[in-house]
Amino acid sequence: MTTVLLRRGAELLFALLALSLLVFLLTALAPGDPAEELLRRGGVQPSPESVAALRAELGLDRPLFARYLGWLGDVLRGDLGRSYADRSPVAAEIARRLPATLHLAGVAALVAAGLAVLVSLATALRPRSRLARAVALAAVAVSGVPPYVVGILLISLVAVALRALPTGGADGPGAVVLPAVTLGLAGAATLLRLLRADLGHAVRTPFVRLATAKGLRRRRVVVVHALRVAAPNAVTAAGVMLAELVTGAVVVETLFSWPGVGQLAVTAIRQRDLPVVQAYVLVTATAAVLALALAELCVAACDPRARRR
Amino acid sequence: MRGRAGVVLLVAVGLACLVVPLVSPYDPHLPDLRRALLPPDPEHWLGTDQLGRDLLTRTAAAGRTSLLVALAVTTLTTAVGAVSGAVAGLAGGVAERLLRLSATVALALPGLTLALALAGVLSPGYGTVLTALVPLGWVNCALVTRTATRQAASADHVLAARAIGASMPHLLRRAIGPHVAGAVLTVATADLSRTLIAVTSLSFLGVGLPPPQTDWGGMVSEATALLVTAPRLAVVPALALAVTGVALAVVVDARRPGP
Repeated sequence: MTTVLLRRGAELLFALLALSLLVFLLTALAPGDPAEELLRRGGVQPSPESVAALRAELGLDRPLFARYLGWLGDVLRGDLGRSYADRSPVAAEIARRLPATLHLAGVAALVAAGLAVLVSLATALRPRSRLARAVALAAVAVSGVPPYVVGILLISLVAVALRALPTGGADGPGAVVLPAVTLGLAGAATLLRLLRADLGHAVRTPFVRLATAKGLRRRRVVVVHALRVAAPNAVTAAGVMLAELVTGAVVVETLFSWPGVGQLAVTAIRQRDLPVVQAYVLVTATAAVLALALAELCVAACDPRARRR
Repeated sequence: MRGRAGVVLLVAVGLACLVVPLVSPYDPHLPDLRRALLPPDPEHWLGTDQLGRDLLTRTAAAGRTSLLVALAVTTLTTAVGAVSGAVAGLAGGVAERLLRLSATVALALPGLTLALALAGVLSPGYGTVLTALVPLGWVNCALVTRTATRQAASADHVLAARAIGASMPHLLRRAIGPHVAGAVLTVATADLSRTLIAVTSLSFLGVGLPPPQTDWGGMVSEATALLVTAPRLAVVPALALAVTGVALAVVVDARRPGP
């Protein structure tokens, strides 16, 4: 267990370092000089002297690697820089927006998990029944369609045609329903795709067959026996799904004007507000990386077979 | 059976996207404000959008862009992935370890977020979309190719061929290649499905291609403001993308070995 922890920890650290390097390099890739970009926000073409002065003030005249180390130190202390647009600290803005995204992702995760568990329990014992085939086809279909397309179709059916729910925004308790269902459907498709084979295998293991043969009720066979075999993989699948929900939220937030970090990032991209974009990528991607790592850790903790890999 | 239906549907969508802009009398990008927001009639089969452009022509042209960009990205990722995977699978050692390390990192990082950031920072264009999607997209194919290559290389018929003195090019072409090709094709279709979603999602978020070039995601994004007054404008490209995506997903699923 300790060696597994160490190895996974090293891998995690490596991935996070690579991520930080990529995010930092975004500044180097962006066309134009950040100092000039900043000064031009005032509406006038800055003089070369003022650009040079600001470059010195921001430390942009230092070599790239020194800047990376300085930036990484700031990030680790929780300082994500200041927005180009209004010079406000980015970390505060992200913290203000984060609850909305977590709310959306949380409800979506509930929708996804509920759907996936219900469907897999209902269809596990009869994988060749008509219902099971229809559900499998539906999951495949949803997995091939981007979430915003599902969202557009849902909006035009439920919000525009039936006028049942708001088309966007975050006012009132009903506002979360459509975005969460949109995001949750994508999550459910991922879960089902990852779990379908597992539960099918679990049902065919000898001891589950024995449980059926000795006359246990079907529900008990699936819930008590088969589900336990498939559970470790379900934890992995849940990690993958959570990572997908956090990173996929940006699309759904944009579609439903949901005031989360994703919407903030898209606005920042349109305004070429680089520090905000960097902060968004850093926070979201770190969350996704941690979700995957945590899931793997859970599996290693409860399934001894996973530790040997 | 289902896979074949998917292929037929895909070919039909692809042909429609290629042919409709050629035979249509309308330009997909040229605005004509006198004809803005016309309902469907015999002249404009699906009506016109807020700038007076024929919706059918525009949807087909956007579909052509979506499919071509997705194909280009997938071709690149498949080429890079297949070559690096084959090298890692045949040579082993350092090449193999290098691939495993980069795969661990690449699979841990969320592709869409990084692609969004890259495409958002660079100026819009085809090159930007490729730059955003290729660097993390090749890993899947590389891993599958490596496994398939290693399996094929240690198979009995390959050992036999080597024993009778077959050269490496011959081995690759006749003994190992055919085994690996099927696996690569399966991964490529799955990658194409994922790439189509990624490409159109980037345009939906407004970071893909420069206007007036557009794909289905860009069309949906342009039309969301008019969703209440003219839902048609968003629903038509959304449905086109949905049909294509579902057909592709069905083909992918049919190629996957069953449980």
